[in-house]
Formats: sequence, structure tokens, C-alpha cells
Amino acid sequence: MKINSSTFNFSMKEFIIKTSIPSIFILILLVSVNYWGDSAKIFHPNYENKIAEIIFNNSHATNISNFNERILQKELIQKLISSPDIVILGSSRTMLINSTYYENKKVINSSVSGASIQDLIAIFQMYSTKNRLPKKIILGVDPWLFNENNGQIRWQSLRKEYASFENQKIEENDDLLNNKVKQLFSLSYFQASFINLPAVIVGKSDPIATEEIYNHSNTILVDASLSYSKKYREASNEEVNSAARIYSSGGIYSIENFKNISPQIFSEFEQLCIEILKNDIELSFFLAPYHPIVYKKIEQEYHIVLETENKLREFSKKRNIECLGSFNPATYGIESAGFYDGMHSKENTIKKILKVETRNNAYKSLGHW
Amino acid sequence: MLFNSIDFALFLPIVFLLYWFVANKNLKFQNSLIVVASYLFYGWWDWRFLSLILFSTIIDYSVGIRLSKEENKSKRKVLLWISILANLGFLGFFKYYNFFLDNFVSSFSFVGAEINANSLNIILPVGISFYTFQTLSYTIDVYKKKLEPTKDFIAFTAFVSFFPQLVAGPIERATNLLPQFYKKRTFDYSKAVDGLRQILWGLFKKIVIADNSAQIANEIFNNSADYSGSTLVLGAIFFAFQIYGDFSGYSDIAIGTSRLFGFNLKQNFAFPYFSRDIAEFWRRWHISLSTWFRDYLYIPLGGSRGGTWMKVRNTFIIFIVSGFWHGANWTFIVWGALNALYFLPLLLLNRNRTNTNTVAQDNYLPTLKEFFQIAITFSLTVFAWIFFRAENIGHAMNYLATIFSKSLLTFPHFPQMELAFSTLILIVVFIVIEWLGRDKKYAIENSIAIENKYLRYSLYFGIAITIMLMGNFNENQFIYFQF
Repeated sequence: MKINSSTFNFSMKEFIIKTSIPSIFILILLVSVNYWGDSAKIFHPNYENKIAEIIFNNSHATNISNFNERILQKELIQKLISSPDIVILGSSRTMLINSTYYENKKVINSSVSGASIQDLIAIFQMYSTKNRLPKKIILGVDPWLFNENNGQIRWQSLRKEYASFENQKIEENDDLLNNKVKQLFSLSYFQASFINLPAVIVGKSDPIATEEIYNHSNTILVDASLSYSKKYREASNEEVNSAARIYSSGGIYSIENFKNISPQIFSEFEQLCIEILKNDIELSFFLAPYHPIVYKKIEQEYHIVLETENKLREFSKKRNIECLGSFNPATYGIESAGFYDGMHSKENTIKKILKVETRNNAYKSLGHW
Repeated sequence: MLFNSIDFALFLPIVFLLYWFVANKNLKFQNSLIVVASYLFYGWWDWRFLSLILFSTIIDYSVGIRLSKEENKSKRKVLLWISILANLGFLGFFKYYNFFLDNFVSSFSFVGAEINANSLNIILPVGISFYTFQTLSYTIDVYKKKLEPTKDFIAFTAFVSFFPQLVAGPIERATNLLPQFYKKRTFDYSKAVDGLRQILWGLFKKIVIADNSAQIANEIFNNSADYSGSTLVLGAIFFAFQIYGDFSGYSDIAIGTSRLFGFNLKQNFAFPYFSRDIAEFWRRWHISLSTWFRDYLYIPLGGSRGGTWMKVRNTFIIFIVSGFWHGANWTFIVWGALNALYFLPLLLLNRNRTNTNTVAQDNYLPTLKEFFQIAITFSLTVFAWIFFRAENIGHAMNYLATIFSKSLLTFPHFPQMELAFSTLILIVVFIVIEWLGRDKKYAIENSIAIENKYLRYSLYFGIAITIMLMGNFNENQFIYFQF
């Protein structure tokens, strides 16, 4: 019995040691790459500040990837020295609206990817708190805004600002901390961070100031609007159609579980509009169209999107709010060539909807206000 | 709980340490811990369905006890049927109710009679097809007096719910697994190390090969109307590797995990894509299910002992039932029938046991003849997989119509070509490793023979790093969970 027990102890000890050492090594590798590679800049939060610095120094910021767009908005609004004439609120579908469309106007694009109602409210609230409310707001309204199952959680970076608009007190919770811990051990994050690691090692992971509008990677322009990367801009029609097909195969982004227009969200939306109007701000809705392939699927399977548009139009009429654009590309005669992918319109499409006359205006930098 | 999840990565070491350090005192403790861990493992997905497993366990345990005391043949038969009906009743309801209802309604509407019957929103309990067959094997073996019924309820509960193979097999025979619960397990270093090695290889198959292939196969199958014939062929090939990597990967993880706890499970896959004919393929693919059907269906039906008609009938029955086992859809039935058609000529010509050894044994490469045999068998298998993967028969027929069109001669093209290319490279590396280890129970089993320990550890690290870097961590559900 004693021999058995000591044999067990010996072999088990050997097993535990031999499995623990490689496991610890792999764990250290995982955590180190995630921390230092840090593709989404979770552990190196001054990244957004660096982009804001570049913009306020009147340059465009390129070589940017996976940063927190909400935090960037916070940084930009904090740095504003005067109130804007026009603010664009919305999602990635309104990010291309820029200052060249409006002559001699102070324009800032405050769109954030996958914007939910909380984002719109929170960003508006930041302008309000900072006393930088604009004369006009172009509000990009996406159908998923009214879907309570849209799966958007990124607004939580601005949860304090959102709660402040709603006059709510929020409990300090450790969600962000948990998220950080999760990312530290995430294998998906490891893959992205590993790719980013060489740039970190050679010191080329930071945003770069440039005078060029069109660059290899995405560029945040001096008015905080976006210029897509070379690859995206130069995609052929076939590639765009293909991207649209992929986009529409399976569930469509953020509306896959859109069963009904959430009364609570619509009421928040109304509240936001009323607050904007109450501050004597001119308000326009901007409904970015979907690619024809995607819209066809929407017509077949997501009738709720059509209902949403009707409801928005009714609401805008009632409140006397200008409503530009339509989820339906055919309304403005837009064909597949007017898109970068399934849901992002090209500049010409946006100009057509906004009825912009091209006068070759220059970009007006936030630093020049 | 998924094997490729963080939850399981925490669950496994905790249960392992409790098992060997706390429950190691006696057999009852060991078995009880396995029961608790298994119910926790299953309940992680949906605790409500634990009652089904428990019910199945109680029925079969009780029937076993009664069978041991009953000598009257008719009464024994009644007891057997109680177990069969209870188990297949659950399976039939949860898995096939809507299928039969829909087909019943369609048949009547075909002859002009409209019937109003609503389908039920039934959730299919994970692994029901697996544990049902496992417990049935116990009752049938006890009935046939091949196995002494157990009087140890904890051991029997542990046998039915054993977490490594509960939800996707291998479907263990009571004659193999149950006796292992009667003896206290002692820690065996080399067995545990071997188990870890097999888990590592299983994870590679699942996360790197299957899940990357899945992303491509899903894109092509879900949008098949948009792509050329050559692209659809590519999609079908990727699906072949998806299903193999997914299912055999799961089996490897299950077998490896069992070895960590001192159990030996049967080999479930034996390099099926190196088969030289379809008969060999079916001896190497999902072995635990094929042998189950052979022993409990094919042989009782008369097997291949009777005349030609009997052989044809039994072959079709076993393949169609096997197809239907995979899912309540005509696509699976056609897949089964197609395999029966592949198999029949070999059976009728008495050539179904020609290739029983390892291909190119003692050689590095196959002969030209073997190479073509493997290629033809693989092609036939891929052709059948199209039915297996398609949404319905119409989808499969359209898919095949596009394949056999002029566009077959064009270069494949679809948006994820970069991923397809990198996955193809990984598949080639995978095939080479599988080929080198084809006479083993799993491909890297023989790595223990690498004497230089640094080289050996480099291999393991290489696999682990490849999983981390090249794995797909989005497509993480196992296909066979739905069966």
C-alpha cells in the first residue's frame, strides 16, 4: 500500500510538473502578446488621445486600427475651443459626411460604429455638458437603433454620459475591468494582437500624422470624418457585390432579431429629438441606404425595417424635421456602384442624398475653428 | 459545455484534481464524482434535460435488474421492449416528431386532403442520440445474456452520463465501458500523458481544420446559387474536412479526456479518408455507430448470410437508418441510400473485406493504384457529403446541377479566397501528419518515439501555437451535437 501510494505521488507529481510548465509558458505567451500587441488598445488607452492630438494639430491621422471610437469622441469634444455649426451623429454609415460638403462651416463628424440610441444620447450629452451645442445636427438613423436585441454593447464606454442625460445615477461596476481580463486571456484577441506585435516592437503601431486624405489604412480626417483604406476604396464592383452578398447571407448586422420597434427606445429617441429642438438646434435625419442586394433581402425578410422607415417619416413630419435619404437605395436611384459594401455608401451617394453641390471646398480642421 | 471553451479548460483540471486527490480514496467516491461532474457538464448547456438522462438511467437500470431475475422468455421480451420503447420514444419525440408530422401533412395535401397540424417548437436535447444508443446496448446485451446486469446504481449512472463521451460519443458498449466502473482506477502516468497528447491533436483538428473549413463551407453552401461549379466543388471538399475534423476531433478529445481519468474508450475514427473503397471507409468512419448498427440491427436482420435479396435489403436498411439517425431530414436519408449504393457492389461481389490492412503498410507512399483508389473513394464520399450538408433535397440537386455545368471548368472564386488558401495549406500539413501516423490510434500517438525530448516538446508546442494562431475561435459548435 505504501509503495502504491509513493508511486502515485511520484508519477502524479511528475505529471503535474510536466503539464504545468508548458501550460504556464503558453499562458504567459498568451497574456504577454495580448497585453503588448494589444490590437484594440485596451491596455494602452492613450491611443485615442494621440489621434485627437494629431487632428487638433491640423493633420489627418492614419495608421489607425481598432481603437475605441467613443473615447476618441470624448477626447475631441473635450478639446473643442468653440461650438460647431454642424455635428454629424450616427454610425459608420454616416462617417464619411465631412466639412467639404458645407462651405465655411465648422463641421465635426461624431459618428461611432454600430451606434445605438445610448451612443447618440451620450455624445449629444457630451456636447451639452461642455457647452458646445451646435447650430445643426445631422442625425444618422439606422434601423437597428430601435431593435432592443441589436447586440450593441459598445456604448457602455459612454455609460456615464448616457446616464447623465437620463438623470440616472449609475453604479460603478467592474464591467470594463472584466472585459479587460477577458481580453487578456482571449485567443481571438491573441491572433489580432500577434499581428500587431511587430509594429509595436519596431515602434510603428501609433497613429501617424499625414497631409494625405487617401492612405493605405483608414484615416481620420481633420474634421473627424473618415476616409477608407486604399483596399476598401479600390474594391471592384464585383468585390462590392460579393461583400454585399456575404453581408446579407445569414442574419443582417444588428437586425437579425429585430421583431418589433421597441417602444422604450423610440421614446428615448423622441426625447433626444425634443431635447435637440428645445435647444434651437436644426435637426435633420439621415437614412443611409443599403446596397440593392441587401435591401432586396430586407424587403423579403425584414419587413420591420420598412415599418421603421415609415414610422420615422411620420415622426419627422409631425415634428417638422427634415428627413433625408432612405434605407431603400431605389428611392434615390442608387445602384450597386454607389456602395463600398453591403451597407456603406460611397461619398457620391451621400452627396446625392444631402444635395451637396461640389465646390471643391477644403477640409476644415477642428484646430482651425 | 464545449470542449473548446474556457469553461471546459477550467472544469477539466478542477475535476481532474478532485478525482485523483479527493475522490481517490475508494471506488464509490470516484464514480460519484464522475456522476456529479457529468451532470454539471451536461447541465451547463440546459439543466432541464438532465431529467431525461436520469429517467433513461433509471429505466435501463431497473430493466437490467428485472431481467437478471426473470427467466420467462415472454416476460424478458416485454422488459426489453419497455427499455427500447422508452429510449426510442424520447428520441422519436424530440428528434423526429416534427419530421413525421410535416411529411404526414404533406402526403395528405398531395392527394388533395388538407390537414391542420401544427409543428411543435421542440428543442433537441444535446447528445440524445448518443446516450440513448449507449443505454440500449446495455439492455440488449443483458437481455442476450452477454452481460451481467449491474447492481451498482452509481456505476451505471456514471456509465450512462460519463461526461467525456456523453454528448457526441464514441457510443460505448456496456461490455467495454461498464466494467471499468467496477474497478477503482489508479493513476497511470503514461496513459494520462497519452490522453493529453490526444486531446491536443483533437483540438487541432477541431479548431484549426474543422472550424476554418466550416467558415468556407458555410459561405459556399449558404450562397451556392452565386458561385461557379468549381467553387462548389471546393465547398464540398472543405465540408468533408470540416465534418471529419469536427467529429474525429471531438472523439479524440473525448478519448483523451477519458484516459486522464483512467478509462479506455474505443477508437472511433481510423483515418477514413485514406480508405481504398467504401467498405473500408465505413470500417474507419464513426466506428462506434457503424458497429452498433452492425451488431444490433444488421446481424439480427440476418446480416449478409442470406441470399442476394436479403443482402440488398439489409444493406439499405442499415445505411438508411444510419442516415436517419443523423437527422430528421430527407437529405440524410438520401446520403445513407447513396452510401448503400456505393457499398452494395462490393458486398455482392464479395469484395467488401478486400482492404482490411493499413494502406501502404511499411511504405512511405501509396502505390499508384492505391492512390487512385483513395482518390476515388474520397470523391464518392465528398459527393455524398453534399446531400448531408444541403438544407434540403432541392438545394442538393441545384448544388450538383451547378457542379456539373460548364462553370466547373472555371477557376474557383469567392470572397474568402485568402482564408481558403491558408486553410488548404493547413489541410495539406494535416494530411501529411495523419498519413505518417495512419497505423496508430491517432496521428501523433507515435510522437512518443521521438527520443529527443526537446524535439518532442517542440512538436507539441508547434501544434499548440498553431491552434492559437491559426485556429478559428468563432465557429465553435460541434456539428455532431445536433445529431
